[in-house]
Amino acid sequence: MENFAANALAALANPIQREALHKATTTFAERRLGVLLRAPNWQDWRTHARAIKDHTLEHLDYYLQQFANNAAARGCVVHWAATGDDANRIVTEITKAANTTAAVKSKSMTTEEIHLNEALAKAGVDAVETDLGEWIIQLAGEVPFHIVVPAIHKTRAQIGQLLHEKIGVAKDASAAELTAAARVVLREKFAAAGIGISGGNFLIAETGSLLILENEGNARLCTSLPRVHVAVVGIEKVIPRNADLDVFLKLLPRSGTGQDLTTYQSLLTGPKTAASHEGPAEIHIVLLDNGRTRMLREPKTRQALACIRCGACLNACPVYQQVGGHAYGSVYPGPIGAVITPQLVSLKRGKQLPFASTLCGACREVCPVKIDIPELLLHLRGEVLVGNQAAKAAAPDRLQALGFSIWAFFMRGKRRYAFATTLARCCDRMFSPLLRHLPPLSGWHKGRELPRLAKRSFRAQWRKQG
Amino acid sequence: MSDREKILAAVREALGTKEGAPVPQPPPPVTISLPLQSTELVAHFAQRVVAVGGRVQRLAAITDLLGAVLATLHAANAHSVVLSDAPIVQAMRQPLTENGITCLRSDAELNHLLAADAGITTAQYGIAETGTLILDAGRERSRLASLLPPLHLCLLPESQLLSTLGEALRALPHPLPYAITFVSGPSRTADIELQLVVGVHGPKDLCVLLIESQKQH
Repeated sequence: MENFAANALAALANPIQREALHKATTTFAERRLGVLLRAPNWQDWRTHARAIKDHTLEHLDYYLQQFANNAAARGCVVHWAATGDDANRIVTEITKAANTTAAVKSKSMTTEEIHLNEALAKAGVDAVETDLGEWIIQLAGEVPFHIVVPAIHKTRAQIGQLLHEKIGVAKDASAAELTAAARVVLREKFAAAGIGISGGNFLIAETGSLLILENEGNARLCTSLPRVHVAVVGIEKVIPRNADLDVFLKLLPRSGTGQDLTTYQSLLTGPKTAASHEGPAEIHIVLLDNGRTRMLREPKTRQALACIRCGACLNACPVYQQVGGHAYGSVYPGPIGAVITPQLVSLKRGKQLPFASTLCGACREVCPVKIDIPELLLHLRGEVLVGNQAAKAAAPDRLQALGFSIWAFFMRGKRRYAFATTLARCCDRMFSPLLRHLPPLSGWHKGRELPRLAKRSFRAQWRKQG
Repeated sequence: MSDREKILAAVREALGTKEGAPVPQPPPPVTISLPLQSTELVAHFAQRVVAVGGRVQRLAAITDLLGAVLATLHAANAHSVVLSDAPIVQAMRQPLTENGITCLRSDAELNHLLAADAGITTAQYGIAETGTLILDAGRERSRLASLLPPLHLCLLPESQLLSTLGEALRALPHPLPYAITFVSGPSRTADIELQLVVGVHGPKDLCVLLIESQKQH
């Protein structure tokens, strides 16, 4: 995340990735618009959903307790993790107590955020991603490129080559053949797993339930076959009532993949209670803070906690559309990633990200919970600049100070100004190509055209006309 | 201080509130989508199931059920089925066996369940708005039978069709059972070049058998 600018340039020079990215972002954006045609109350839904989120976040302590008490009453073990390390330690201990080294995982950005797989690997646990895209990413040793479709930057041929090396499928296999091969390999993993690990899209306070949305069925397998199920969920995912799911289930799939509803929703309330039940005997829910309470402090930054991780802002963003997910160098890419990463990780490390935006407002337009992402980006830019000024007070930039005092000198009188513009015009005419390749203009010029100055100044033209 | 108290204290500190501060009612639930006419339910449900890649067959009477199930199994070349414990499904065990179909209970060994060609369950409700089946694990052993085999045959009486998702959420039992699954179409992925592939982890074929309500005379 410290190297966004350099990463972005590298991404721009990768035509295969750019084509895949263009196809993905435009397809999802078009599908979203298609389903919105059948959703005449869309704006009312957004307003209502945001009101529920705002209310819950304003009383988060109350709803977290209500959720934890109800989940515990239904037999779940509720854990509280202040940091990612705490959560990793808790999950590792659960796998040890379950006496297993074989874990299956369904797609979860929260476990990506805390790098759970690495922590489990260190403890000797083999955690296999089972969402097709996540599994491909795990085999390739990469991180997700998009929060909804993680392997979208890879072509079928690249995936064919990868699966040829790893599991021996034919290199030129079709998408259907590759998927079928994955099903066979992953079925064995499901059958052997002692523990299933998931995230969660919503926690319902009044019932102590966990809701998981998906299309593939791997989350259903992860939460019904292994004896133990662990869900790692951010504290901001709680909502008050079961009835509130209505509006969120209207908004999330439509915004994410342009579906009216994802194929499966699992509404899980406690482990099985009878011998005839099918499902885990133990359910653990790990409630994760990891920087979220910091974002809660100000109403402005608090709104980012309303995010339901649909990915619509990624698809709509002209910067993400060009550079893709890896350039951000963080688990959460795109506009919402540029907002939450500096706050979850650190402003110092993520300081380039709030600037990775044109502030065009497309993200705000598509956000199903009306998060004002441009406002947040500006706010964070302000924080970065305040930080920079504090640093400058300690070590002032002499060259910049000299530049501004020269500028101030020439701006202070009519003749001086006229002299300076004439000089600039001469320089522009004679040395322009050269100047563009020398600092400080060379840096500025990398991503932009430097406009030429007019042959005659406005004042000169005015005098002639007059 | 426990981890729970630490995090709750951090939340309260960030919000500037105290423990036990009064909490107003959350925004009242609103009607998110308008109900369909009761006469439209079946047609709308069937259209939505097909739109998400499933199949629907409408049966005039319960006596047509066995014939329809056998025809679907034969067409799919399915020789072994997992049966849920719903009475209407269990009632088919003997006739199916007599027709050469191997019937497994849903609590059979996992290897056998994994090798089965089809699963038969009922659904407790259907949602017309989205073509969704609601499987209540508290009422029926349907979790694995509806998930593991490549073909899922789901029986649904038309009288159990609801109009909207909101209505369905209100119809769920209190307290909630340990697991409820909402199913809209076959298992799908588009993770490779956005190409739609069905049957990635769950069934690739979802066949809903809608049983018409008995006409009142």
